[in-house]
Amino acid sequence: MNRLHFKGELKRVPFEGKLSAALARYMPLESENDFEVFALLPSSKAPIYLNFAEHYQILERFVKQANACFEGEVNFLIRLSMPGGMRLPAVLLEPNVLLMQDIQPEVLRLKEGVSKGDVSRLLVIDDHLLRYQLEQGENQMHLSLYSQSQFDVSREEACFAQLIESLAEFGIAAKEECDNAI
Amino acid sequence: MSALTVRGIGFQPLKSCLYQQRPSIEASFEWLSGLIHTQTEQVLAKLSEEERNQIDRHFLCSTMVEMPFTTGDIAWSDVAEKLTALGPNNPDTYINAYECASWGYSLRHYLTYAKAEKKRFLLVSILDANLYDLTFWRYNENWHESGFGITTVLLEVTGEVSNELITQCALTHNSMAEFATVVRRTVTGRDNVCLALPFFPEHIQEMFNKLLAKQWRLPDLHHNWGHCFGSDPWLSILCHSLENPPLEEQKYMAASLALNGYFAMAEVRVNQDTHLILNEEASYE
Repeated sequence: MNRLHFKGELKRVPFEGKLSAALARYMPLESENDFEVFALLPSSKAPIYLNFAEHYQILERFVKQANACFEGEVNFLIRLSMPGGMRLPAVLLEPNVLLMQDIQPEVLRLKEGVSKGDVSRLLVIDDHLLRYQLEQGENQMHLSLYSQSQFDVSREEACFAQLIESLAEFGIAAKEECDNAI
Repeated sequence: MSALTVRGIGFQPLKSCLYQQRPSIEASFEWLSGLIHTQTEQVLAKLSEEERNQIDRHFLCSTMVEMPFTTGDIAWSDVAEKLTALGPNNPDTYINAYECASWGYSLRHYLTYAKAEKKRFLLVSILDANLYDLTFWRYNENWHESGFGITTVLLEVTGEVSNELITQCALTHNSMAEFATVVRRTVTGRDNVCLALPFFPEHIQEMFNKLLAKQWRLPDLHHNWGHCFGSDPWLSILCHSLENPPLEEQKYMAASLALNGYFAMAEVRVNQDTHLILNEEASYE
């Protein structure tokens, strides 16, 4: 099985110079209990660089590009927190995509599918890009590609590199590079 | 002929206000895990040992249980661990991204990877509980009163599933009308398929009354149960079958619509052997 990994992090707003709508909505709070609950919930300290629409735009472009590069022979597992904020783009609702809060159990299952030859290629997007303060994470986006060994490694690497390059346009760069830059 | 047979449906109603005094989220999930486990065992009670060995997997779906996981108040892996410790057939996969249609997308995912040649069983549970006792979830403008509970559906897949399952998303922002139209189009030409639709307050039901006037539908039970999210069509089939025990096989189109316009429909068969369980309403003691 071929395996490729990338650890990225969003370090800036993805669409520089463009206006970004404030799309995050807060649940209406009424009772004493409502306020008490929200006052005690954990909240993230990481900066918020994008809204729901921008987040889905990045994922949509990524999935479309990967579908094209791998000629549709790819399955996606994407970590996505709820509430979703707005309707998802159609490409993320296709049968070769599964959206989950916790992808790890399914990664194990489908990786096994790749090694057994039942799944030809699996692209995992472990996405923790924050859209509002109650979400947890550090704006990291980790990618893993698992494909059957029959696929040419250099072609797999070339496609994977192209995908990473596209993410860089949105400000998602390799974590090490970001650290070096600081 | 639908390749999906409902071998069992269980519904465990949960009180809108679950607690006298709200416990930790860990304690809440410990309690809920016990209820899910008990319900799973109830639904599986009529399966033979051989059939139990053919249970492939168990999905847990939800619409409104997201805050504990999103905020990091608890991790799904901790809940899954509790469930695994309780018994072998409990859910290990959590799907909520498709809101009320999550059960249909779980089924689609399963069928995408499952091997067609072997007879198999699949469990789908739907959990919606007001774990933080928030006012918004009790009642809101979108669907008025909410209803809470745990549903478990045991499906037997007897052949290749093709047009029995539809997962789709509305293209317009009038998703209710679009949903009704797709439902109508889907059942047209299918004989004796009864619709089991989501529960909505009267003014929204009007949309179904008008656009699905000629279709055979189970009654809307919003006045009894409130809107129970993805559980509605299954609760609808359960209540109807308890009141009118099936004497022969009956086909239903279970259909759910999510707030963001995703919908799921599955044509299923219910028969005399379908195990029907409706429990007493529960709250955390």
